[in-house]
Amino acid sequence: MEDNKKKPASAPVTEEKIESVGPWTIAWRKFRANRVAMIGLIVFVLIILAVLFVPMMMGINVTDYELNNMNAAPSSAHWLGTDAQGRDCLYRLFLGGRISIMVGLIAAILTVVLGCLVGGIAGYYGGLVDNLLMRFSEIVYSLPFTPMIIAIASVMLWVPQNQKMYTVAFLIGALSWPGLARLVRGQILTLREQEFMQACEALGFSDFSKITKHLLPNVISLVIVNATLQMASAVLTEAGLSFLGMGVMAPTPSWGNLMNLARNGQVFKNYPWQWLPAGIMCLLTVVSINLIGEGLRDAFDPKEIQ
Amino acid sequence: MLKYICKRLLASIPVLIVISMIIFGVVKAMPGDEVTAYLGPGSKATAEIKEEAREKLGLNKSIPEQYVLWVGRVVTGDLGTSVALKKPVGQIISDYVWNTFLLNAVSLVVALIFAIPIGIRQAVKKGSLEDNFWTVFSLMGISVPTFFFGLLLIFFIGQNVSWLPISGMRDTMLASFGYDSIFQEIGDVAVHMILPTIVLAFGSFATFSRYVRNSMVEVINMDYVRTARAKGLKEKTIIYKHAFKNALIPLVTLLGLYIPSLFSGAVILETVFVWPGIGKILIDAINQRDSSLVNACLLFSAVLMILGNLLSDVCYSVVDPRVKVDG
Repeated sequence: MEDNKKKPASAPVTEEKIESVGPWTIAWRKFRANRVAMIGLIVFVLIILAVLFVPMMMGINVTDYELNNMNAAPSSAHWLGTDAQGRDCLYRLFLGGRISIMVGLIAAILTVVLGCLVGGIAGYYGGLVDNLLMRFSEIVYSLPFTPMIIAIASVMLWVPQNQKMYTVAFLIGALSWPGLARLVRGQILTLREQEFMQACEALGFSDFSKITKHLLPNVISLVIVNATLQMASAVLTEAGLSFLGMGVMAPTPSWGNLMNLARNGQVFKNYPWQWLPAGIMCLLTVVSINLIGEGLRDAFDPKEIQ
Repeated sequence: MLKYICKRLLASIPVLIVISMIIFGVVKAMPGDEVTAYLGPGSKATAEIKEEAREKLGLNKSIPEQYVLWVGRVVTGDLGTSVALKKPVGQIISDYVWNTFLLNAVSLVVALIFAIPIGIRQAVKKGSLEDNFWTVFSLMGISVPTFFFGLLLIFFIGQNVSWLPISGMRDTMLASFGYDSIFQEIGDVAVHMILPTIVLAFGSFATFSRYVRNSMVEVINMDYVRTARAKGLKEKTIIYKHAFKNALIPLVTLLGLYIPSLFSGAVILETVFVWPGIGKILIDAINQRDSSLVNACLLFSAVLMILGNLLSDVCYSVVDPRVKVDG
């Protein structure tokens, strides 16, 4: 009761609207003003919605085969035709989108977690820890990315087919964190020398609160931008791997293995509706994610004030 | 500088050793039996012959022993024999690597010819319609899966233009009966290169034009550029002589990183166009479980990767005198 009474008294009476905008608001405003980035965002949201809800609304089951209607051209019943098993191509296109985007997302998250952990620890503690961790990341960084992923993927045959997508995501994440780790480490190294960190030291904050409350917020924009671009490239890598038949395996569709159908000369020539839309969707998705990423980079960049 | 390069090279030896272990481990873990791969699929070899082959391939020893033996051979220049192609691996790589280099180098040159002037124009006309067009265009370049772009070209152009070959590097007939003249051979290879070059050059163009644009934008706002204007120099001289020279720095770093990768092949693209390069033999070798060839290809790419990183650092300090390397 007492608190309630006190509150109005303690509140300042300045009702003038002096807006104090935080860094997030500024970033969002800049992002919103960036027309190209907004188009990217809208396209990406549309793709996500389509991928999530269109398969549900189509009223088809995964097990719907029309064996008397194979390789049918696009028609009003099947907007993108049917494939060699008489399955609806539009349905599989969107199901495949779920997998492809999911792989990109998981890979990006893994990259961010590993990159931040390794880079953050190396930059913050320095010395021997830094040396060891950076050596380790140099090794991973020097592995030839695509050939290595293909080789490792060809080893991991024991993984059940329905879990293949996680293997692919894991591999991409496990091999692409060193770039981010270097960036984070570099940032932390410069931040560590600044006055506000000395103030933290003087105030006797714990390592944990120094890292989470004072260092991480300063690298978060870098991390977000990187995660976005990372996701775009992970979607591309998945597509390439599955195209070679070493990524996500049929019957699970993904944009990559739908394009894999094009390796069959017959399908490539005569049934383009089976592989072409997957490539276009993949391209659209990656372009939109890249647009968002670049918009974010400009939005977070303190040099670019509009 | 020499001291720095030597130091870096020495430092990369332990990295290379760990990488070779990883590569060897991965290849060992690949499914399938090396003996079967060696004898050829469907061979009705007796158990005795199989045992003999095992012995010959050194498969009876423990894995670490096999690794040490392999490293010993690689260091002395013996990369082993490809079981599928029945040829020394060193010879296969030196045969194919030039095909890869040819394709990549031509693509890089094509990409640079377009990327540099376009990137500069974009920077000069920053924010204009033209700038936005090229920005979107190059964004497409980094966003399109290379193999999909390749497939599109084959589908829409290759199938309809009869003189444009869609796969391979040479005409089968001409290659097996021999070319009439060297010019015919050059022409034949050049025609085969058109489509894959477009795809590769598009990707590199995107990367390079973005670099050129961004570094030009930064440089154009510098004080010395304003000084040059104040002196009344021609705009062309300012842009190409004063500004572009300094904008070259990030470009050269990127080029340093690029040069070794000219040899290592675009794995998926070479598969799409059946281009007989390092990338394609790697995929074939993985599919045929040709372990010594896979080992060699992976190791080769790793060495190129390390060289690329070193080269880009060296280039950086050569071009930009402000950067000092700690020797």
